Amino acid sequence: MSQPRKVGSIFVTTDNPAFLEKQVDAVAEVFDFATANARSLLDEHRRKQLNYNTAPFDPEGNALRFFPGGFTIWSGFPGAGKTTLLRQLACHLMRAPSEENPLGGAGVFVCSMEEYPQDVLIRHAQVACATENLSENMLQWCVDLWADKLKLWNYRPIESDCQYRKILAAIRLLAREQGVKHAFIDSLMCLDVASNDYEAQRQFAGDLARTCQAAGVHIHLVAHPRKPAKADQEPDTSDVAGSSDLGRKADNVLFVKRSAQEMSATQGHCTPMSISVKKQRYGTGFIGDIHGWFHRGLRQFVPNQFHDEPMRYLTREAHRDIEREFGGNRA
Amino acid sequence: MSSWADLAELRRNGLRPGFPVVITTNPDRATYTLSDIGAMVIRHNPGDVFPVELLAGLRAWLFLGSCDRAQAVIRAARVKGVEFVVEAWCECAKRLDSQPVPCATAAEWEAA
Repeated sequence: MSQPRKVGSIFVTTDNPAFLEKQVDAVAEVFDFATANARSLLDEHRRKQLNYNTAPFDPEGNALRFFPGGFTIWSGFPGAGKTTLLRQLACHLMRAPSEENPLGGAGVFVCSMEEYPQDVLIRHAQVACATENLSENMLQWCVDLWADKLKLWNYRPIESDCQYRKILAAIRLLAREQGVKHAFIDSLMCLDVASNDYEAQRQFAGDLARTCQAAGVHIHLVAHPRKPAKADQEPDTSDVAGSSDLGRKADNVLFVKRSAQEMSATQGHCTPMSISVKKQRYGTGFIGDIHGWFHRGLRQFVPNQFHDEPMRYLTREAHRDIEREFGGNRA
Repeated sequence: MSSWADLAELRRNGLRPGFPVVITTNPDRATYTLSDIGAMVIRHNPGDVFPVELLAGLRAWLFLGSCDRAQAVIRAARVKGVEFVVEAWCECAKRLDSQPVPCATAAEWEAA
């Protein structure tokens, strides 16, 4: 017999398993594969395996893949560049479908609980246009191209805006009615889930996983590391803040890291950066570090320190028009 | 105040009330007090189906207004093979009775 605990106002204990055994029809609960067709099973499996999105630091998906119905935890010490990288990921996901990117053009919902939606839009536009000095023309391109793809949480700094159930309900609705495929929640510490209430966090992890599965979306959750430590400390999945259920239920657990000796490691406009994949349930199963550079001028993660060309996330016409403003003198 | 659906939901999740389940047709101060201390108090509307299966393996206190009704519940449980520990409030004797027999008079509020 377990210790009594409260559900709502009622004291409860663990039930006798015999009660549920009487209620359950075991035959109905078991998947009967004897009658399944091998070809259709395999086709369905292959279809699911091909239905993934990638990240800007691994655009081919050779190492990391995001599948619908799961969630990814993005962790990293303050200043590591999580939020900036996630903005680039959102731009990467929304870019128009092409031959190289047949699954592009995904609807994205960004729920920032620290910034107003106007600011969030501008920061995403800065990443997409690869400049901090955004012009009216550049922003207009983003507004036009993202109008039906980018949904921003209308953050108002009042308590009820951080109710996670309300946010998850919005994600389910947006997925169902407006084709949102990826949702970003920045961050766990801003939600109404107390950091010392492990039962509430366990409940949150379950609700998050159920929302992903029910809506077929992939949720990207920013969660800070548990221990305040140096930026070069090697973290693992248990270092994500909150209940360990979060790490256990997540499809992917990623740590964003920037060099501890940022200044000495800086090469021109670039700072070395890595994305440490600590867990990957599906796809390639890759575990390890993906290295790259953060280009401060372009506001983008780039594959190498000599990369001065921005990654392009808008249409060809938009970039042609935008580059005209720079007059061939971007950096 | 809870409902039968709440009890069903709880048990579907592998949980059971820690205190005896109180089933009442007439929520009064006593049942609200029990509710306040963490007991599950279910309001049963006379005439509705009494899902006695949900009480399997539990302890239940019945406040159904008359021992006739309590007796009917116990009979139904026996017929369906539901085993539970039950005590019914006898308004005449003012006590919880594990083997209620029909009373000479029903509760005053029941007669009203």
